[in-house]
Amino acid sequence: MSDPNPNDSWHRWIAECGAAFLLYARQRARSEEDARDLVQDAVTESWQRSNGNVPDKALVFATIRRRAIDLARATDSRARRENQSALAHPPWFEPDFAASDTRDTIAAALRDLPDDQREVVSLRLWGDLSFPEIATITGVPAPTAASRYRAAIDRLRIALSPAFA
Amino acid sequence: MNDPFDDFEARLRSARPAALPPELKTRLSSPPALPNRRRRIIPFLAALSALSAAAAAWIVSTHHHNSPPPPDSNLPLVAESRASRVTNLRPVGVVSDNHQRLWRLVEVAWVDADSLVSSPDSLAVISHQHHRAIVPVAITFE
Repeated sequence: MSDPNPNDSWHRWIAECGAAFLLYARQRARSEEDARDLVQDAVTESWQRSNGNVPDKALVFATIRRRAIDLARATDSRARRENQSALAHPPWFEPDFAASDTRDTIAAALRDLPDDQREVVSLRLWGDLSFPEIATITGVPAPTAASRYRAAIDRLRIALSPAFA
Repeated sequence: MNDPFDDFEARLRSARPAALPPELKTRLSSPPALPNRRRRIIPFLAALSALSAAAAAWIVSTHHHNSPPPPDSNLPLVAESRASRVTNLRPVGVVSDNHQRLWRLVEVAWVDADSLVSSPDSLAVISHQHHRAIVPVAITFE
């Protein structure tokens, strides 16, 4: 059954989760434009599959991931290199004038993580997903997802200790 | 399995993901239209209709290939005719081939009604033979 007021539900949902979806899409996509397209396509597909009800967050993250993989397969290597350079510019986190250096440092430290660790950290911290949900999305056992997360947090702890001191 | 976030993790989480750019906000300003279910059903019904025609044609052609030899001249003359009629179509399942194309397997049931009418005294005999076969039908979803 559809939500009685799908417009309200939609706007609340996008306002609440849209930024986390875009953060994840930016980490999976090869250009800012691709990331925005991924978010739009994934939320549209998930909304329709849920018959106009607010979809499960894990479903949207999984859809972004699947579509990003499909997109990457369809992109030739030359375009890939061009797009990678374009990805460096958009900020990953909200600017905080009291701690702008810290935000940039966090983004840089995240970029330095291996892809599989960055993905787990992003889904756990900003996607607010459980390890079983992350395991389903990434296609690994839940203990593997948890150990990747722990390894990533350890690396981030070292990388960010000067900024967080 | 999920431990609570420690101070360091909580501090990381306090970095809020960047807000949606205005351009993307505009693109997401209203919920998408829900797909019309009838649009998904129509291709399937069209495939079933095509299947009916194909099955009828196949049955008729099979019948012509298997026509009995001319009767012995000593036997009484009879006029023979056959009418084939599809009686049921039942989707069985969907399978994919090596090229990832989808095929729907459909069970087709049909009846061959054979009429024999003897020559001088017009005695008519009608026999019904029921058949069943699984036929693959190519399908394309939206």
